[in-house]
Amino acid sequence: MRAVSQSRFRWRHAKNRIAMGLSTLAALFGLFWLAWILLTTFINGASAINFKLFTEMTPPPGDEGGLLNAIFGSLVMVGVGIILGTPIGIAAGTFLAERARRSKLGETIRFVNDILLSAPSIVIGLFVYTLIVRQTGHFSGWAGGIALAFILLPVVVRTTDEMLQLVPNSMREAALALGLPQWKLTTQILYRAASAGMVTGVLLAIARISGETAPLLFTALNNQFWTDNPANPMANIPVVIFQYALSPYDSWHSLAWAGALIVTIFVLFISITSRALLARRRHGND
Amino acid sequence: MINQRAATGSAAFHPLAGLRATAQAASLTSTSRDNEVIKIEAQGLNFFYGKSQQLRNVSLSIPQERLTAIIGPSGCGKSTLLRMFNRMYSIYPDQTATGSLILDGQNVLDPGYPLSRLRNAIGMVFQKPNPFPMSIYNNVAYALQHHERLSRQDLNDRVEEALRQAALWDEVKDKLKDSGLSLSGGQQQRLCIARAVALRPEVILFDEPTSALDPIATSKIEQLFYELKSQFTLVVVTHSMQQAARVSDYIAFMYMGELVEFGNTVQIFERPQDERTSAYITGRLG
Repeated sequence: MRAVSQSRFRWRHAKNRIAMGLSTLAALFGLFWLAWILLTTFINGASAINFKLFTEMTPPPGDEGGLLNAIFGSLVMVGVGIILGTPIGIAAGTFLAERARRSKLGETIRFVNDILLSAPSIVIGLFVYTLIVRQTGHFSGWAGGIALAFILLPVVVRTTDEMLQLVPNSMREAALALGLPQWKLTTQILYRAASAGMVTGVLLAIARISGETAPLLFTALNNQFWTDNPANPMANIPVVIFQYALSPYDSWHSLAWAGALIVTIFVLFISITSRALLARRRHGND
Repeated sequence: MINQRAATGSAAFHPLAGLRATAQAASLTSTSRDNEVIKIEAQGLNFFYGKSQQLRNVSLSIPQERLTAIIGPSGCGKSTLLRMFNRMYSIYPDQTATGSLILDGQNVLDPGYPLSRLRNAIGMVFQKPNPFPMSIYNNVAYALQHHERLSRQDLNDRVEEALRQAALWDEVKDKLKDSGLSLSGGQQQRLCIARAVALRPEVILFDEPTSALDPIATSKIEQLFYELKSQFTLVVVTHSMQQAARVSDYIAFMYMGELVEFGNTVQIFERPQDERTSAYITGRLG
């Protein structure tokens, strides 16, 4: 009797070890590629980083230069995307959470928003190309910013909706029981209670759009020269990386690596900031 | 006569020992509710969640500057009744009410009665402490600023007055800028009381205000009731008969959506008129 249960016990342990071993291997397999990609980016990018990156324009083929116009263009277009997408996203998310929580309309909007969330970004690029570039007759920074806004929008809608739904109803009742109107409740109490999560949502959306290439390819295109007018085609880091990485010139290759490193560090910084924000909120609630 | 009986009984071991003191005090101040000024007159209240009726023809008179406890087993409709007094139910579209609640000669259930005015006149404290995610000072000042235009000095005075009335001032006077959420549960609940008191309402509703608190925090709130009822009319829903016996002047006993019995606390505990009341207070019901 005892022998039987002993051997079963050992068999269970063995199965446990096999399963654990396989899961660990799978995790390491995934992390290995991530580490490789990051390491390559850092090694190749770090050797290409120098002061000229931030002071000089993208060079003609084979020449030395920097990424100033691309960095500036990316900041402008991401900025346009944030300014257009965030208010609309927060307003829509607020509507879903506060006015359409379980209604048919709300469920439909959530479903459509999820489709937009997972839409391939190249489709959004083509959409904005037809909507704006074809109408105005030329590529422009505005079109790029609008395309990025379309990608940012559903992320903000979704996180705003979810974060507001997490605020307990007792908070709403407390404010209404004091005779406060709905708009004060929403803007000064609910937004405050959900702020960490909502800001995190916006930050993650920014991280996502700052690396997008496909939508910019069809909208902002690129610009070899400096421009501070978004009505013109604008340089931007993702498209510069794309074009320079495909080129045969060594100087362009190293600029592409530098651009990749800059975007990676930017995204990493935003992700860590948003994590820290969420952690602080969790800590603050205890 | 009642008091004599109470004094000769083995009061120390009696489950309603706390009642004895109340009984003596009550018999001195208010012998019957006929001598009381009526603050709220409820007539023929019915309440529906969707199509199911939760309250049937409830009528009662809430005496001014007294503490009226609403007791009864879970699901009897005591919270539902309480939430009619400030029309809290009206934020949920599937909840409807009929009947009349007369406050100072006007029916507050009339849709024409402004909600802001009603909730200024009738404050509410909830089961779980629910301070706003703002500083201690702003928790009290926020709704006050909405209802009244006050100078900075007047506002400071009113906040201090409210925190004193809630017996919280000495504990928080040096950290008014700290978050309301940094306080302990019992302090948070007193902050919620201060928030309600600050508007100088006529009536304050309490929905099981101590059920989420430890015994020490509970006794502080119960002491507070004694002080508050010199200025305010208090209506307290409680699931604890001991608490009702300790703090109330009048008791409304609810059972299955009906008001079974209403009377002063001594009479309800010593000479219940209804079989169900006596079954409940002796622990045979609910």
